[in-house]
Amino acid sequence: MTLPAQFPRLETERLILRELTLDDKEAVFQNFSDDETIEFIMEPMTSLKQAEDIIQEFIDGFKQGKSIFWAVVLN
Amino acid sequence: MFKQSIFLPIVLSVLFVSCRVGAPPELTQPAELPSPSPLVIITPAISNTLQVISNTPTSDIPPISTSSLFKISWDDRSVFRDGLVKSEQDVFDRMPGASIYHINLTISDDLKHVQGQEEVRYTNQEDVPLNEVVFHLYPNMLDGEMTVASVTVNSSTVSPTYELKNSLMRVPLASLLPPGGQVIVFFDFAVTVPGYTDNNYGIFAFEDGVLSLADVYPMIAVYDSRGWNTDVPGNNGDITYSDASFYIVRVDAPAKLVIVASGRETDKEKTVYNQQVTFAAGPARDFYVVASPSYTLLTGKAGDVTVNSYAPAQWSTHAQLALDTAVTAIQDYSERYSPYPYTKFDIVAITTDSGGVEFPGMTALDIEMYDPQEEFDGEPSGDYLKAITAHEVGHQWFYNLVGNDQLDEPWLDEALTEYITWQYYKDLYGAKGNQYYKQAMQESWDEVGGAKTPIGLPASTYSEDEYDAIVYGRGALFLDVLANQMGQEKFDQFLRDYVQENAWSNVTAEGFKQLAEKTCNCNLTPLFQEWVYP
Repeated sequence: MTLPAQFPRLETERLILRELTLDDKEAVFQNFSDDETIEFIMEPMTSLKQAEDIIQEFIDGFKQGKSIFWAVVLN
Repeated sequence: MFKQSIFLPIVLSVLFVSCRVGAPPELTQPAELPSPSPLVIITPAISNTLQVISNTPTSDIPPISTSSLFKISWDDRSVFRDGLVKSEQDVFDRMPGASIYHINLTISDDLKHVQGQEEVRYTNQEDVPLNEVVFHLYPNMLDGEMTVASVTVNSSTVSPTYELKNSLMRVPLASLLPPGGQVIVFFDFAVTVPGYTDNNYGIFAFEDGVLSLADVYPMIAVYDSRGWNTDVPGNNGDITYSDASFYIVRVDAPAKLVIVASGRETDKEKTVYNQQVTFAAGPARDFYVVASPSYTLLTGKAGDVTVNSYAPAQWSTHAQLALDTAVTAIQDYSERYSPYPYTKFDIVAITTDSGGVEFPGMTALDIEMYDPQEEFDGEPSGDYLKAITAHEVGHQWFYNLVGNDQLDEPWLDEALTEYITWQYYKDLYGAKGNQYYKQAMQESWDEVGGAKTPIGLPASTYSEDEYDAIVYGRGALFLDVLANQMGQEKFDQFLRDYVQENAWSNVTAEGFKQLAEKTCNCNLTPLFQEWVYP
């Protein structure tokens, strides 16, 4: 699977899909600290620092061509 | 290439959206980037590792000697060597034409969807040229859904046809494939996994926090004396009939899951969020994957074989019981018939109504048997668990090592496995064990009044009660009668020869009978007419 060189930005009438940034840490933390949301995925986060770390991991993963994680926001 | 969007209502009134990498939808570039709204959601989409070159072959046709999913020559089988005990490591020379599957499986965060790429090298091992390669799409007959796309043969796009409610895919070949000829078939596939249903035994389901992925990939059908075998399983028994093959499978899944699969783990990369685990299995009749966040591991040894038992921690007592039973059973069958071929055997607890289900190098056992307070047929769950475990271990010899058409001649693996389990009880408990198991087989047959229904019928022709009573109960009793007629010593020798001569092949009832007659130098037709044939 080949990833594009630049992170795509997708927009529909209702949603925007874009790259995550460290500014998203609170939203990331909100989701990743919720037991039910991540029941089968990972251990719940307990600090904003963990949210920053995972966002950086996602950013790096895309740069290295390994993975792509999207932020989905309401338009 | 697939795109997939899953919308899951989650608490806190947020939407959790998963989008897979693929050809993006219509893309617009707004003049000004809006700031995130309060509902900012992360959408994970880990895909493949750096080793993946492409998920769709392009005009850059890969040489036929090299896999495009894994950086390995098709003929390099060294990756499988460490998964086999020493006495089995010459198997590669005996199976030059076995199919080789290379598969990527990506398990979604909701554990209900799987995306995959499969690249398989198929060798025509028949004595006639072939104009197609046929695949079973088992999820479409197990209450799930499987779709296939972007099918190529030797990098050229082809249009497959689908039959039997899309559970069968015929991949056409541009020219006749002569005996010994090889093709590389490549495609993407997507799977939706159901919850437990009466139609899938729980072996292809996400239920009670366990994802059980039996036959989650397109599997090549067997070409036998009638041509491509496209039989559809009925209501009874196992569903597959397959040739022994080799598998390299990379599983991409959420980090929290304990992933258990056929074969040996050859590579693992893990982040806080995601993991990619690669397995090499083979020779094997199938490739099975189970994943759960609640499994804990107990481990033991049967000689050089590592035996693992996976179950939720609360059931550790019976997880240990299953482990101990598997260890003694592997030792017993290995001494009696032939060495267990792999260096690992896994037991996993799942929700199933079938007691246990066999897979190559693995068995899935009904989690209800792990509760020490439960009873089954009036027996304490521990006794039941031991018997089921010993039976399922036995299938490593009859089903996996020696294969058969499990749909048309299920007695060849089920009756034989019941019989060797009986011998295991005799070895372990002496005359008392012998009597116990014989009585159990007789009581099973008595469930249908001791009806003299042939044991050699297709599984679909029996009622549910008949299937257990005749194929298992009467079937094991037939083998006892056969052993008495041949003489126990000769029969034991026959079983050893039968396993060793037919290892990694598929046998028929006629083949079984001919070797038995050769061993005893006697005519067994009357006995087979009385017990086996319709």
